[in-house]
Amino acid sequence: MTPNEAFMNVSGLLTGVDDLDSALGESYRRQIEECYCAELNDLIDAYRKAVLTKDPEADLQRQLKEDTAGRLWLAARQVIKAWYLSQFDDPGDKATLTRKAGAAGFAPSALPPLPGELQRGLIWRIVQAHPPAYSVQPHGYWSQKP
Amino acid sequence: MKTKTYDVVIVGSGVAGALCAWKLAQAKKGLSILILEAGANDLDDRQRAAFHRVNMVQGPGWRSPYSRMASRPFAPFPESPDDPKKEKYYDHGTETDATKLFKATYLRMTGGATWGWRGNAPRFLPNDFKLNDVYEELAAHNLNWPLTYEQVRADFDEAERELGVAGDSEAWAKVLGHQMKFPMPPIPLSYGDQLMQKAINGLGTVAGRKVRVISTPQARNSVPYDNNGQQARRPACEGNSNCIPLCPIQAKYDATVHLKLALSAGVELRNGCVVTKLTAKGDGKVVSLRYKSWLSGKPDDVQEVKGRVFILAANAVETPKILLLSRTADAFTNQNIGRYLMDHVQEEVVGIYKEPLFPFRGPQSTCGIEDFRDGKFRGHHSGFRMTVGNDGWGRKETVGTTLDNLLRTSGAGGAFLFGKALRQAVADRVTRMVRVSFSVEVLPHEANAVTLSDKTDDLGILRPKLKFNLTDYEWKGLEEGHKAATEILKGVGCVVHDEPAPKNFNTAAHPMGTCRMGTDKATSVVDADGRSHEHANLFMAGASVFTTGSSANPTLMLAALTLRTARAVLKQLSKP
Repeated sequence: MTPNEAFMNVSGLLTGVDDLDSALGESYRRQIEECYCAELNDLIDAYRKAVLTKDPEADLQRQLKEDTAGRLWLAARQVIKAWYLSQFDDPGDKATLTRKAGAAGFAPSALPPLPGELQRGLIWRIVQAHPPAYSVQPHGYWSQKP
Repeated sequence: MKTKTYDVVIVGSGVAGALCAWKLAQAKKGLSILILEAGANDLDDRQRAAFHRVNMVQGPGWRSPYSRMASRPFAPFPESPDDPKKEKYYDHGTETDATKLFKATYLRMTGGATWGWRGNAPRFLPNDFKLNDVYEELAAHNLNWPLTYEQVRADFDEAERELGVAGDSEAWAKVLGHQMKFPMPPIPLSYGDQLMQKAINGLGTVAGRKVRVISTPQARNSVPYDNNGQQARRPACEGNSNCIPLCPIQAKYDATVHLKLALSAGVELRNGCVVTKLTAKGDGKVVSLRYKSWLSGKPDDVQEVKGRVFILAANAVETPKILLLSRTADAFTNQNIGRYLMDHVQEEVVGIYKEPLFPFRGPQSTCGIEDFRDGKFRGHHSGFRMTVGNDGWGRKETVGTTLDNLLRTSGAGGAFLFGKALRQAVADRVTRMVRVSFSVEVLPHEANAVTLSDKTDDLGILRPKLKFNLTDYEWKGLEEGHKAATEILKGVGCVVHDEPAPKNFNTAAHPMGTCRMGTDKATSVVDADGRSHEHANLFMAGASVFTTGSSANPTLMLAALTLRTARAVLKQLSKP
């Protein structure tokens, strides 16, 4: 399993969405590694263990609970936020984190997103809306039930 | 070299400045009109697209697509979210109590604050012009305008055509007590607003008053609109759900509409110019204006412009600041300059409805309740305008915050919501979120004021110092608004959050007053045309001239008054 395949698999389990875009996944993985490098590796390791069990979701939940330091939770939360909202939380100077050498954080200028990342945030399709500023529907569509 | 004397010099290119420039240029060809603008941005589609792109990549603390503009250090956004180390532009003195701070901000941009407004354009009510006549309990305050609603009515009609207002003529005829016709049919209510409208109207009375949810008049196109061929055609709203900070297709009016018209008619615009002073002669006429240009590369150089008529159309903070900077023993001495600062103070009650409303589709709000704006209660507490939001919990909780909260469940070491359960929880919560907001009138209190700070901005110009304190009248209005909103949401079956009455308030970002209109120079700064009592060729345009603030969004009112001012300026120019 390549790093991106592993990232896509864990992303599918965390987001609850099966048809994730792998190019977008590559971009998100690179961006998350900037600030949560070791945490993301831990999360992928946890996923690899989970898929060997009968119920991967329950096993990942178990590992998340047992990780009292919260490293898995931090990475899992960031993976979900990236896919749902194209949003990245800069962890700041938290000593527990393993920021990639030389990484400046999640400054938008340092890491320009792929075109269309914001528009493809999963949350908008889950709530049956569209990302703000990106409607492609005719006048008055909002008066109808989606 | 002889310095050119302009017929008209206008400070500020927002709705008031741009509309005034256009009406003057349209009425009299050949007038030399100069607009000085502190901000500096383009007006074309590429600029709009650039803002749109910035919006797409904004990160933590980036509240609007305008945050990265080169003008920011020189034309500061009053609160500087992108630079926390920098001192805020507003000087609040020693005041740190959040309930005693003036919170209304504005955009120093070419085209003004309409780059980032919601587009709501309700009229003031007839009683808003004569509070002293109607409510004897308010006799201690000087609240009557020097104008009646009937005197401004035709200007409202024209302002609605100029801005392009879509509205429900039948419903608003009942609110205003006379027949009327908006230039465009109403913006359709969102699916969720229709459900809320039916449920709320079914309540009958709220807080003892009969309530009706009706379409809010909006300067947003419900059909392609060009004001009968007088403007470039703008499209009908596509429901981008992003009215603030930016309508990407300009279906919502902004002042660039009139600014572009004015420029095409020969009006001159100078960007990046921050005015430092007006100068008056012995006969009381204002003769010149000085400014610093941060775009010139020589921001310490002071430039001078001469004119026959001057119009200050900055806003209710910058306009009085300029006048106070200009004060001498003989000029700009009116003691009311800067006083009677107002805003609309707001809060919202939020809830989870019993079925999906599907917010975040269409304009951020399409309807409201006008029934608490006026009534006998107004003798004892503020009136308020209510909005049913189409944007979930609005400022109370964004979609991002909702997700954060769900992902925080039990935190590290506890149960963590993910997978299909998370997906279901997001869908269940976000689609049922609703807010009812209330925007409360603040009476003009003499002590609420803009004065000059002893601190300077990046150009070395004294900054504004602000004092703002609500009285029991407004706090009671906030309390009543909270009660009514809570009763509405509970009444329609929402699970209501944040039930305690507000101890603080949000701003509607509607700075008003500070150069108020009146008949007596002892209690006002300008007359009913916006002309300075003290200097016959000096006019103010914009919300700074408001005598009272009503609970209505101020843009339509200031546009209507600007049309009056433009006529008065034309008369002034016809004099030798």
